Amino acid sequence: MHIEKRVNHLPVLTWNRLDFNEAVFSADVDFDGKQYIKETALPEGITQTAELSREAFAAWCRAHGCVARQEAVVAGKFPMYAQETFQTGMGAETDELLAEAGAKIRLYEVAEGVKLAQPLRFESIYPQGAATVDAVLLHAKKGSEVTLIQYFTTDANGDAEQGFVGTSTRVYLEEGAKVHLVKVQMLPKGFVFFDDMGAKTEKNAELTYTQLELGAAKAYLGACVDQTGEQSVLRADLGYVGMPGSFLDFNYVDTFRGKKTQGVMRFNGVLFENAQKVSRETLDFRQYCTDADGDEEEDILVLGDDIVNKANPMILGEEEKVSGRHAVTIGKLSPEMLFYMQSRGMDEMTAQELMVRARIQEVANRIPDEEIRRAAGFYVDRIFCDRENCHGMCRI
Amino acid sequence: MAEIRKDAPIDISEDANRELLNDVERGLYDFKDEEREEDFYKVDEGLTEEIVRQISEEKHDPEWMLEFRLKSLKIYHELKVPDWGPPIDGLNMDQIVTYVRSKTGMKGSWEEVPEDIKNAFEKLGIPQAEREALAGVGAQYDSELVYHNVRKDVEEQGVVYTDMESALTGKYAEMVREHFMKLVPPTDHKFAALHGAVWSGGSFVYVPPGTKVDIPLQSYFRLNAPGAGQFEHTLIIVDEGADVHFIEGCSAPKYNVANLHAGCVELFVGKNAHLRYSTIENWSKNMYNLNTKRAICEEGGTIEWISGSFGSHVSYLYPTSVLKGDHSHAEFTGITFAGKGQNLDTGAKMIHLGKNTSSFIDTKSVCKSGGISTYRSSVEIRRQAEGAKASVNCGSLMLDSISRSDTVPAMDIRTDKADVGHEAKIGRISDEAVFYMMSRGISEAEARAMIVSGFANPVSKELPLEYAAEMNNLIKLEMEMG
Repeated sequence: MHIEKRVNHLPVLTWNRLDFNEAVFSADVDFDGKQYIKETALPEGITQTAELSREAFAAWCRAHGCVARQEAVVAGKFPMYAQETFQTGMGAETDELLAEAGAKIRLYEVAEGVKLAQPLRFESIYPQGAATVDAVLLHAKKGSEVTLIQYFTTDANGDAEQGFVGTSTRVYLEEGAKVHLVKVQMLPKGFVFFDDMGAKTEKNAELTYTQLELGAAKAYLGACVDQTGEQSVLRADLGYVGMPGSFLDFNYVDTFRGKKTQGVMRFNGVLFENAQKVSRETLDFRQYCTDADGDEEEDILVLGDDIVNKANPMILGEEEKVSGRHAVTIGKLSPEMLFYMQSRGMDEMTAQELMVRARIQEVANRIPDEEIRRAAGFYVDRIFCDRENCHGMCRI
Repeated sequence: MAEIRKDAPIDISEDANRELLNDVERGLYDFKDEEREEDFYKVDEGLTEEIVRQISEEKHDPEWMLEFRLKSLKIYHELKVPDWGPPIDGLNMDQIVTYVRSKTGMKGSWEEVPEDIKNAFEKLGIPQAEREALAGVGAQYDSELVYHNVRKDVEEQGVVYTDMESALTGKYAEMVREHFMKLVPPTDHKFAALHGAVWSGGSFVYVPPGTKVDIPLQSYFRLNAPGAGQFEHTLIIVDEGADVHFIEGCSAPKYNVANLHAGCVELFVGKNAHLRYSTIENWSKNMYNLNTKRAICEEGGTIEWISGSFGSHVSYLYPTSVLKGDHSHAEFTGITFAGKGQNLDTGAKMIHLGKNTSSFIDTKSVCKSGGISTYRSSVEIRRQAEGAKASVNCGSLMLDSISRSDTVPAMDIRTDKADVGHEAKIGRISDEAVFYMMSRGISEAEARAMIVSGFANPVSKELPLEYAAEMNNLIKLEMEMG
């Protein structure tokens, strides 16, 4: 079937000619209806509903999502897309795709007060030609603590392998719940990947979101966190590598509604030659979120020419008593840094490798999974080994 | 519009006082001069081919200009209203009078200007400013310039500063034709096309190679007629190695009907030339200000924009710098103050084409009493612009929670050999700072006004003293008004 979806909508529109307002992804896919997930056994205190009906899914979203209030249609702006009942970063058309592709929707509920010591680990290993989408709902009840790792990888050997993989995750955190959501994507260069996320945090809840994007030819990512409860906290980190010829489009939105909410978003990326990246990062301070504090930073290292590097970091404010900052730094390895490294005996390629490794490891170190951290390290090894002249630091 | 808090107490007496203050203080800009029908020529309301032809005939356009106007009108009808900015539903082109002029014509001597028009500009301090600080002055009243004068010593330097109509048919006709709406083509957007169709008034400046004009030139635009549009065109060509500072000021009285300003500014900065373009805009709050400003810099050229936006009901204003030549440089320093009933969408665009080009944006926005302020910008660094550097810094100050402040900065970088930095902050006046000042005997209102003035300092310090003083007065006025 042919799919074409408008996703990653900018919360406030800007000039159309810049092509920021939304992304359109299209593909011809015959969904195989298979699940490639390898789940760890569920520990005590967590329950699973293996296959939620469309109706039950919609009801869950209605029950736990943030009802869009009047001011959600941004003052003086235009409502450009249908409001979801439980907003995600990519938007409503991703849910349409879930339905069209017959995606299986799994619901996990962590019981009140249960604190899981070990992460839940969902590893999906996709073969050549895989074409599938799925959805996960995670409900962390009052005072519970859980880490969920979603790891998207492959058993295909060559980078020429192709496939279409999509996933959607919604997380609802009740009062005082703590969730660490980890998503790691290491698919072959020929895959198309989308990863949509939406979360709502109640009073004193804490969401840590760690995302590592290292593969695929085209990747679309969305994350929308609705901080409804007072003093809820978000910490989001995204590390990405744009390989030659790859395309990455993402939309992160942190909506502050509760008083004294805090949000920190960090984006650390590397772009090699011919890579394309479009980023949208928004701190959205809604009325009544007094004393909210938002901080967002993107640092992009560019290691090749002919790149497309687009960024739109936005701050939207309709509450006076808030503090919001954002910063973007885009550049190549500075001559001073290069000189420093060369004066210590490193050539330029080694210096580049060190910088890439440092960026990836910074995010990988937040992932409580030794195997994934090691895989991320190997991934960097491969980047530099794959180059024409291996400089000798390769460990594989 | 942002929803007003339902729990906010409404103090009628305070509101009434504020309205009174509004009426009294804004008198400086809000005075209205009754235009006697017999003293003014105007076209019918609306926008038709007949009206465009009528304007062209009135202005004794050359043939090419009539064709240009008609082509622009066609483009206007083809283009859509922007879907990304503040709503402009209240603007009905069928009710706008696109051309109004005094029958007296343009004067070169202040004494010859009709008394009522002269009074309007006297109240705004224009002749005084000319005497004290300007190399030349143009004063536009509704659609046409009513006064134009250049200091003799500046004229002797070879500097040309004249009204657009004279330039279009005089000695510089070819130069004007070569440059007119080449930087902002009518196809750029709907209101650029509208401008191309009905433009009238404005100034032409040419600064010859190597000429440095030590004191600024100024144009002042006054739109007095209710329901009218002002569509002045400013064309400035600064030749190789030349240097000039141009200031524009705008104001209008407030009416119950919508007024429209869709001017166009085109600036050509030659090799190693320098142009500073300063604007203090204080349109009345029934004005739709849909203005387009653009500069192009050749090798080593510098454009500096200084911009203070205080007035209008709705503004779309994003001065654009095209850094075409290697080593060219652009700076934009601006402040926007959005108060009650205002939706001001302002910012800047930087387009880097040449190698080793650099740009710097520093903006401040303040909003209060339900005002909406949007900072919108784009920095584009094209593939060939190796060695480009760009820096964007924007700060927003919110003075209450019924207002709205958005920051929408876009960056599009196509080379690895560029350095780009962007920083933005949103916040409020700190209670500690107000408390500190109050503990030293300053009233709370004064303390807040002083803090806002300090916030605006990066802009005001770039203006000549008398304009900085005017800007500070405007801030004080806005702070006092409800």
